[in-house]
Amino acid sequence: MKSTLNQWMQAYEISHFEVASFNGLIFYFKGTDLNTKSTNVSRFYETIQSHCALWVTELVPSYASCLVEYDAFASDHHQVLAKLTEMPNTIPDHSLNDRLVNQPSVHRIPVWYCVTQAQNDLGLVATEKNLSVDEIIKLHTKKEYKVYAVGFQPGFAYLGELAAELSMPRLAKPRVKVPRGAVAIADKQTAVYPNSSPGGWHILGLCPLDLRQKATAINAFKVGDSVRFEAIDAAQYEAILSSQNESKIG
Amino acid sequence: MNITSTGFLAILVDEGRKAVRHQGFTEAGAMDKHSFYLANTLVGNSISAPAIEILIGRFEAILTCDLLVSVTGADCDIFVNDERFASNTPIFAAYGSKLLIVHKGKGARSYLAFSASINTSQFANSQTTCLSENNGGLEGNGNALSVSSKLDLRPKIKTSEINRRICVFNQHSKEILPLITSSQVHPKQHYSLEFISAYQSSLFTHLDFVRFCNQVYTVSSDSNRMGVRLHAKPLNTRHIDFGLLSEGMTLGAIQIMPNGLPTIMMQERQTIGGYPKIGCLTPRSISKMGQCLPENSVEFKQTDLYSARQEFLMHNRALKVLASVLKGNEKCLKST
Repeated sequence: MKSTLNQWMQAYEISHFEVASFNGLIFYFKGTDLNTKSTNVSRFYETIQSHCALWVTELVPSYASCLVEYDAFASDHHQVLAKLTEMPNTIPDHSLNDRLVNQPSVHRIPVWYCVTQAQNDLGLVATEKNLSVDEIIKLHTKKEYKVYAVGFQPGFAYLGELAAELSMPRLAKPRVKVPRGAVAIADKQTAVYPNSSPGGWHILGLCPLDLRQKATAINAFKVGDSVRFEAIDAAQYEAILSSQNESKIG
Repeated sequence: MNITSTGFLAILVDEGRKAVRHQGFTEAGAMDKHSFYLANTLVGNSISAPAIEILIGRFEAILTCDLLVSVTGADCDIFVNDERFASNTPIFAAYGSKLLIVHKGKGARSYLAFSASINTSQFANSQTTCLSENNGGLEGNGNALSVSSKLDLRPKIKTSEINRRICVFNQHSKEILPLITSSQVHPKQHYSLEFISAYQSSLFTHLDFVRFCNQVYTVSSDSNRMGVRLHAKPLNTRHIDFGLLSEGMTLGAIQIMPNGLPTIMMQERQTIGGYPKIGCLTPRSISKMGQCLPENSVEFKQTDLYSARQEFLMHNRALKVLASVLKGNEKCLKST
């Protein structure tokens, strides 16, 4: 039996939707907290993506919403809603390969909490939050974070939620240049800068992985994925960095 | 094609990247798609073939093969070896000749299309230059074209076919003209832009809409391929909650900033953003925005979803008929 629009919205925990452009609709999701909203976004996003509908041209999931753009030659808003409500709300049984692409994965990100480097805010955070550097590292590596959104720059994943003890507002004066690989925090979020750019987050350390390359790879960060940070020392940081450069040359 | 002068900024563009915005990659691509599509149609290309976008240019190049070229968009003078040609027409440019495009006032961007494919790296099915991400384009690194750029062009049609196409165009120019007129965005200093209410439009009061649609906005010099900033009397934003969660942004979305002024999201916009949006421009109005220079003015007019879609479909229909007529299929003219 075909489900009505309301039933369909309830099944996906959609609170409401709006027109986003002449060929786009944006869906907003219910949830008592950000984590629940994000889980609902992922379920919606993964279901649509797994059906590989040709009329969908772009899917942009974020914290509590998912933008759906469609081929305006193939469809209009009414037809898109009808097609979405008719879409089975289960993820079809794909080959193992497709599963790897679609299902949320856990990313392990090595971080050198660079106590010695001048360009970090470990000291500032320690003073402000009345913590030792070791405690900061422990608090930052203890949690498994969730990718709430990907944006700002290619491969930049907004991760949440940060332990309340570490929560800091953005820098009063943003840095003109945040180094590539910087692991930083702001409010209840943390992230790794895939590329050098201006930025106002407090920097805790550096990640040696080339996240710019990862952004286009099959294991790119996607909304709903989990991320764990693992502390490494300066020598390990250098080793990973140089091994990456070697593999690029080879 | 060897480039000898680029003007303010000349870049290789196409329709933009597809299905990568969820990874944080911006769309990029031609800022005035109407002129871009028309330029490609006039030389017999598919509408999405790569072309050169010239911002307020004095663009000069030496041809390294026989080409059918066309220039659309901003007002400009076009010369092939000092012989003058009109814009929005197919032009034969022979091997060794000098092509010169000089901007002369209205409109910001010209599009130079050519009957050849160009060999570059691809990203997300696109060859477009992305200035903000330093990728794509001629060298794959987001660089604009420079005076030493050499374009490795592979002609798609023979010289005899070039001449045949120009003959067809001249024979049917009267019938073709209205198709061209309806497919282009005319360069102007003041545009009336159409938008549909979208996103957080319900956050705005009736008074906000009245004010938004009843004043003239000036284009700020602080505008680029990411967004166009506009100045006028600010909307009252005191009642609006600016603590929105970032969400996917569409091309042409009209963001209202905390200072009450709009920014129009363009080709290289960030993929997600958290400012409230009052609406979204129609495709034709997005192209008009792409032709705006600083100090040009715009005003907004609300339209509905169905008219916006209708306008999009009619525009594409006109392009298809035009492509068919230029190919020499006269039957198409009778059916219009």
